[in-house]
Amino acid sequence: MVKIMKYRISFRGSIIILFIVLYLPSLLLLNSYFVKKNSEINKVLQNIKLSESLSNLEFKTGEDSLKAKNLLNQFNENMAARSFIQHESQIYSAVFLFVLMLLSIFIFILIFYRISNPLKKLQNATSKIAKGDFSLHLEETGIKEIKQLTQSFNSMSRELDSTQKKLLQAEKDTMWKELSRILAHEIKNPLTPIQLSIQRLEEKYEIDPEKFYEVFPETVNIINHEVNNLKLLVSSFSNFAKNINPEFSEFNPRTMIDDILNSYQHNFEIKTSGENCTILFDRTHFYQIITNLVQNAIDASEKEDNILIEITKSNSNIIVSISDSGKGINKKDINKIFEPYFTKKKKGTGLGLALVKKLVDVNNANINVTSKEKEGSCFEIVIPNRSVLNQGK
Amino acid sequence: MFEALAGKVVSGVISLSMMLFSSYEGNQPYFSQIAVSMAGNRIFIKTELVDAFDNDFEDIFRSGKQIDVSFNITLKNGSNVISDDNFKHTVIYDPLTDLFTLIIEELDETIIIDSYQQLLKKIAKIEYTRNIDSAENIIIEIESYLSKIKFDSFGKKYDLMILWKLKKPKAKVTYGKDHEI
Repeated sequence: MVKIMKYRISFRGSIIILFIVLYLPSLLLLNSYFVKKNSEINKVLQNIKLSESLSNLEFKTGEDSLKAKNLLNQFNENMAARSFIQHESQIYSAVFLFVLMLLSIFIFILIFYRISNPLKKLQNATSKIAKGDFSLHLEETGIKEIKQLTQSFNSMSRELDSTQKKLLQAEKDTMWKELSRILAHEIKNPLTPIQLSIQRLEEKYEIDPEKFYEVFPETVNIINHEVNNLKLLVSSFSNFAKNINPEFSEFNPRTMIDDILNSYQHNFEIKTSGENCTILFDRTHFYQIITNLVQNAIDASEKEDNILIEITKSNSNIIVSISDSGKGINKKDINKIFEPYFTKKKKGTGLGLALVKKLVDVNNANINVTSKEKEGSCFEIVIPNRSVLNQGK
Repeated sequence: MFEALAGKVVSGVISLSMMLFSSYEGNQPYFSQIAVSMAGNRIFIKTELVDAFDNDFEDIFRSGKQIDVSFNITLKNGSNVISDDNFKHTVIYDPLTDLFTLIIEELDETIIIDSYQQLLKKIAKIEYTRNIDSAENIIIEIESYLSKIKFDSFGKKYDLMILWKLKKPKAKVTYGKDHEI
């Protein structure tokens, strides 16, 4: 069987062949046209032998006059033909050049389009890749060089797509591992005191039944406390995983903050600017956000430290800020604090601030953090003013 | 319609070609304003070909060959053709006497002219007359063209329209009830 080799002419090759096919025959045609016209003119000039022919006539007879007339006619005719051929050459060569020019422009545009169009597609595809869409596949057609470029691009796109998928899978695996580690750790922590309490109760019951009733309430209390901790842990994981839909209602944030702070034994300072300011927010979400941030502030601070809570109102926003003068957040960590499972606490799930961020987002608000190590942190919740929200609607 | 379009394309290509690639001047003939008048049922049309023979025609006219300048006059009433006449102005040169014989077909006249300049004036003038039934809204279309000539020394025919850059001069007027042109 004869193996047919697929061979595509390169772009440079195409240009050279095009030049040879188009321009050389054109030049040859033009040249042959001028050679032909030149030979016609030469033929005319050869016919003009008036002086020689006239010198042979004696003009003595009517026949000589007729011959002279014919000679003159022939001379004039040849003069006319010479002049006419010249004009004709001028016109036809100009038309030929013009048509050649049009043809060249057409071919130039065609080639330009065949180069620029795939390049434009590549440019668009590159911008899409830059935006993270690696699933692109360009049609591998056109001139050889462009086809090769497109093939390389498609190969690169496939590689990037595959790498991205691997990275996502790796990230997912890491997340699951980290989650499992945290869950195991968090479940193990309360299990130890529960186990110890049960052992203690068994011991007392068998060895010293009298003392059993003395330690029973305290031990049961410990078990209850740790079971509650486990419940809290499960509920915080469950909350984070939930799809949260806010139920907006209008309320005074100051009132709710006061209620929350009542359950804590710490020094708080509350400042409010603007009387009777209200926000449009999900009440439960607001409660969760403030509770989390206040708890974090307490955890980061010493017992005697003051925690400042400010509510400020501007034309477009209401800002609730919670500032502590605790240990602050390390510069390296500040970007990660809202990531799930990131924690620096010994007994933290790493879901508190991640949940706060999620709740703030679903309520169309923003959260900002400023922190300086060993000086403290400030969390600001920027809530769009109710009137601005209404105007937006 | 297609013929008119093709003619415009060809003349456009030639004009552009000449402008870009040649210094050849040639001739760009056109008709002067057409004068129309009526006397009874007879219509009289007068016009003149301008800039038609100024360049490159002397050698041709003096070649001794019969040179025909053809004209076509069409009279219409709306889309109805009333008449469609062709006639020629023929020039023949005698080198021995240096005289031009001009035959004006529409007037059935033969004129002998000894001056080339006079010939150019006479050959360019058109005086056409014809009987028509009605003089209301007559459309007069006129065009001119040159025929091909064959030089005895060559077997080939040459198209004299080259000297007009292959463009036929044309004119059109409407003659109404109020004799407005």
